[in-house]
Amino acid sequence: MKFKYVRIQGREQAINTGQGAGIFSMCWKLIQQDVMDVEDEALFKEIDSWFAEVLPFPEPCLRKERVVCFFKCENSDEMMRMITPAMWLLERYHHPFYVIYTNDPGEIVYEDEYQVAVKVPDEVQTVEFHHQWTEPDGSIHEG
Amino acid sequence: MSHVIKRDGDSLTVQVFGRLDINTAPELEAELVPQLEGVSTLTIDLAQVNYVSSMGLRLLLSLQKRMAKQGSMVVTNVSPEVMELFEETGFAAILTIV
Repeated sequence: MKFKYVRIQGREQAINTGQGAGIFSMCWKLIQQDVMDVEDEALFKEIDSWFAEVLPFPEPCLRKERVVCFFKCENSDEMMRMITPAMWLLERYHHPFYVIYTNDPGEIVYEDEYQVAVKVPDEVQTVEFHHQWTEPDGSIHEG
Repeated sequence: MSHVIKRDGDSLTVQVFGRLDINTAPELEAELVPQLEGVSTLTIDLAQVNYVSSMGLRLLLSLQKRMAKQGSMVVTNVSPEVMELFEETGFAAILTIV
């Protein structure tokens, strides 16, 4: 299955969006908390400066709106190459992260050549615990 | 001696020795960067390098970024140990390694 969008985010929720914190936020947090050593900090800042030069800063993010950003897979080979060392840094510090692929990230409120910014719903959606699943013998387990 | 820099027209070759880390990378950068003016091909020879730290990776990335604007950069003679680091960190896909 081919996907249009990809996002790297953490287990922790960003306070402004309630969604998983983005990779740049996570790395900056490790620096602010003095978790990253001086060399790794220098490496991340070099990575970050490349993105600052190449990747537009979405206006909704500048306005601190409740949005999360996804790379566009079709135009993001170079972005993913350049972000890989940042993922390595997160692994180095045992900081969990997830790589999310999707074709429907939600309501797109900003778009450029490389990324989209997606509006975060105002309400958190929850689902009840799922009581049904298929057993190995093919029968349906009813919880 | 931690490095030797040789210029041949618009090509520059840097031979690095030993470690490329927080102690050696800043010194190399301070000497190398001013010499990149007018350089279109930069070769980083790591034949004698046995260790690259994150500071070394930072320097390589910085040089790669600079040279992408004015020409090209290749990294040569990478040892298996350093290559393993490049692959683990994603630098194998960022750098041009020959």
